[in-house]
Amino acid sequence: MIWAAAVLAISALLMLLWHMQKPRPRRIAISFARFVPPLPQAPAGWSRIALTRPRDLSALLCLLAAVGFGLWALLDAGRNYRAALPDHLGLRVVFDRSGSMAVADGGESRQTRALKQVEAARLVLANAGVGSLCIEMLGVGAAIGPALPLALTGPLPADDMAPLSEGAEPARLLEAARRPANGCALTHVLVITDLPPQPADLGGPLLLWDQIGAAVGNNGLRALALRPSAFGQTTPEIRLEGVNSGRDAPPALVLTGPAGPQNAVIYPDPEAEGRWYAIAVYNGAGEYTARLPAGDGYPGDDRISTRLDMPLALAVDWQLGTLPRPASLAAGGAADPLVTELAQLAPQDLARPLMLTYPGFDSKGAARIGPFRESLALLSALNFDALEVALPAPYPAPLPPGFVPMMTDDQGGVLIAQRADPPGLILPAPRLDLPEPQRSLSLTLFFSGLADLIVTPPRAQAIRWIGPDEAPIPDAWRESLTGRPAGAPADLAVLAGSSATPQQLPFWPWAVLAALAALLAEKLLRLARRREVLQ
Amino acid sequence: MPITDPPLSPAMLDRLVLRWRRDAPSLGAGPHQRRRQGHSLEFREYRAYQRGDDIRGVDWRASARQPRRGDLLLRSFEAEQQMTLAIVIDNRSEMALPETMPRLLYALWAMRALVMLALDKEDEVILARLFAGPGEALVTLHGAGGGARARDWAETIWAGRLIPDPPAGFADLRRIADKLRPAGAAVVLSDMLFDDPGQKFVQFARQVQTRRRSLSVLQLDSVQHEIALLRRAAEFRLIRPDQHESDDLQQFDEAVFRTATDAVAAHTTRLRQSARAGGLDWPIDPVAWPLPEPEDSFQAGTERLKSCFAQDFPRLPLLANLSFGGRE
Repeated sequence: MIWAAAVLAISALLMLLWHMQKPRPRRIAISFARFVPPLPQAPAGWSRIALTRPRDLSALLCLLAAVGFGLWALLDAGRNYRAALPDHLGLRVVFDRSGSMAVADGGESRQTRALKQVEAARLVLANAGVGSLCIEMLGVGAAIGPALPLALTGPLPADDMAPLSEGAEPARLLEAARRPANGCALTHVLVITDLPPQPADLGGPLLLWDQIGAAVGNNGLRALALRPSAFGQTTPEIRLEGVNSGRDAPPALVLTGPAGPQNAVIYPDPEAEGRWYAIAVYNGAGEYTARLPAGDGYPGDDRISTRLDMPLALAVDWQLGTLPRPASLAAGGAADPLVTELAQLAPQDLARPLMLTYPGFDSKGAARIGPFRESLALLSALNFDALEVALPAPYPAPLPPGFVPMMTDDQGGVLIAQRADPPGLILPAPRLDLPEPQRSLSLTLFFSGLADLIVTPPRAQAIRWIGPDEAPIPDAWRESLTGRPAGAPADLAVLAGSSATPQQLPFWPWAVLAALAALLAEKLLRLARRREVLQ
Repeated sequence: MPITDPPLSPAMLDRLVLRWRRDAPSLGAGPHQRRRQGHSLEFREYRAYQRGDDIRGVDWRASARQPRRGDLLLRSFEAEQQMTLAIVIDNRSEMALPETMPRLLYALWAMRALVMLALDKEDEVILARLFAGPGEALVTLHGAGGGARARDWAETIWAGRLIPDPPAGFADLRRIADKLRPAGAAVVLSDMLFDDPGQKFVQFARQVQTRRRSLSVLQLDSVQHEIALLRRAAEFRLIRPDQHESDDLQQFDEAVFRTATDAVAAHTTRLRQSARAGGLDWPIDPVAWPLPEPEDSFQAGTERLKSCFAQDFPRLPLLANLSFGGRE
């Protein structure tokens, strides 16, 4: 500050001298010079500087004003700086210990870089020159670890900062950042992770998010779903889903099940960028393990394992006399859905998943279709014109408890009824001996209803990620996106500043602006003078 | 607006024209009046001399044959229909001084104003440089387009002041005199401080004054103005006519400049006497430059010069002698 003020003062003095110097002796031409005898020489010792009126007073005043404003700006900036320097600095380091921190990029692991950042932060604090300091560290994997005090110097607790076979998520890191202070009055929270920055207001401490690590391509397994067959038209399938980050998906994966390994071709998901899927054959209940080719960025998401218990064929307790059980359906027992006729229904059967038929197509029904619910899936396969020509008779008895009409005739008779829980459906019995179109109508209606009742949609299965060391990795999918671009490093110099908003806006920018305006005015004055002289 | 446009309002020019039309018939001297009496080369008749007639028109030989001694006979000639006015501008680089109030600018304004007045009377005007230099040596103006040509010529002369040529010799002055008609007049606009070692200007002046033509000199004197500038500077480096600048710093000295002023006066007196041949109109009092202001710039000085011109020009004896109006 002092040297800057001295420089400005010297500048002002030099400007004053410059403007107070005597004008150089004029070169004068006169029209009658040839009549002028030789003139006496001026006395020697001519001095450039004289205490006289400045040559260009307005320009000098502009320059002095510029210097004055510069001094003011310096003084004002210094005053604000001293006011902003805090007495205490408290830093919490939220340290990402997820598995992806072990990823090596550019010759060193992300964890090594993170440790260097912690060292740098400690150094900044140590040199801040404030009265009191404290640092604490929270390691975050799938869960938040305990708050550990960190010394300003000395070795870091490497064991408490080593990567875990766990996945972390930004919300968990922010949760750790927001945790109440544990003996250290926090002014700053430094999050060191390879996850992208998350905007957050911690309501006091200043959040610094330091995203480390360069982009490393990775493929990871994300989910596994089982899709059962439907009456034997399709085979049961296993759908495996994954992500690719920063590199292309591999061509295939290996799924090992009860019947041995099988290769499943990987296809990019057309509906989502960076996602892919593969379809494999379900070989019955048992342990299944899927594995991606090794050698990508994060190995913790390359292998999953799950146990699938679904039988190969759906089982049905078939008690229908008018139609034989389809070969693709296994003969079930009391635990399986029941398919029966109204005449054979026992009261205890109403508590089971149930498909109840009645002899609707045995007699002529009403003339027209009445109200119906469009949401019923089985109606989508029906031709209503054909149905109206051969409308079945309504259900001949009161609907059992829980069933609601889904389709009625124009007389109010119930043709189809449904129950949500346990699943249940009442509809006309299929008849193979009827003339067309009654025969086709009855079969279409029956099998559509049966498919609605017993075929479940593909279900995601619970999976486990297995690390290279055969240890399970919780939430390993959270670490898969190692190919994301690296973020800007945090400015650790902020740690030495204030976390609080200044009480008063600094005035020095205005002083600088005024100094620039004074310089501009001086320049314009000189230009105006020069133009006048040239004219 | 060109800088050489004379700072005279159109109303002032109209007043000058009206004054000429009113006064010209009653004025006894001047080329216009003589033109009416007839001073062409074609002899018409003798008539008796009357008071006020130009004595140069007396035919002494014929008068001697008169029965009564003392009866003088005057030769009269066929009347000229047009007068020729030759305006000669001193175009030396020294005329661009003083820097803030250049005399060349004053001379060009006077030239342009005279051209306007002469062309208004359908006279023929010849513009000429006194010395060699940029611009046409001789320009003859007639009628409506003459004003524009005079403006262009004046701008050329004004622009030529910046060309740092070595001192040039006289232009072909004989050619100017030859172009003058018997009923003609010449006007020289100059500071009259030029050197005339070969008597070329004197010869030109005398030649112009023959055949009852006249020569008017508008002398522009800025000597006191320039001395005041030097006095204020006190110490300076004086640029001599040969463009040689003294390395030594020089000091103002009253005695030296008194000597210089006397030398200037002696020079003009000698030149006036040498050039006199009966038709010379060179007033003793030149157009004197006002003293410089402390903060004179070119712009401020020119504005002051404009107001001086607007005040002085209508009162110049030159105008009356040319029968262009002038002072009342």
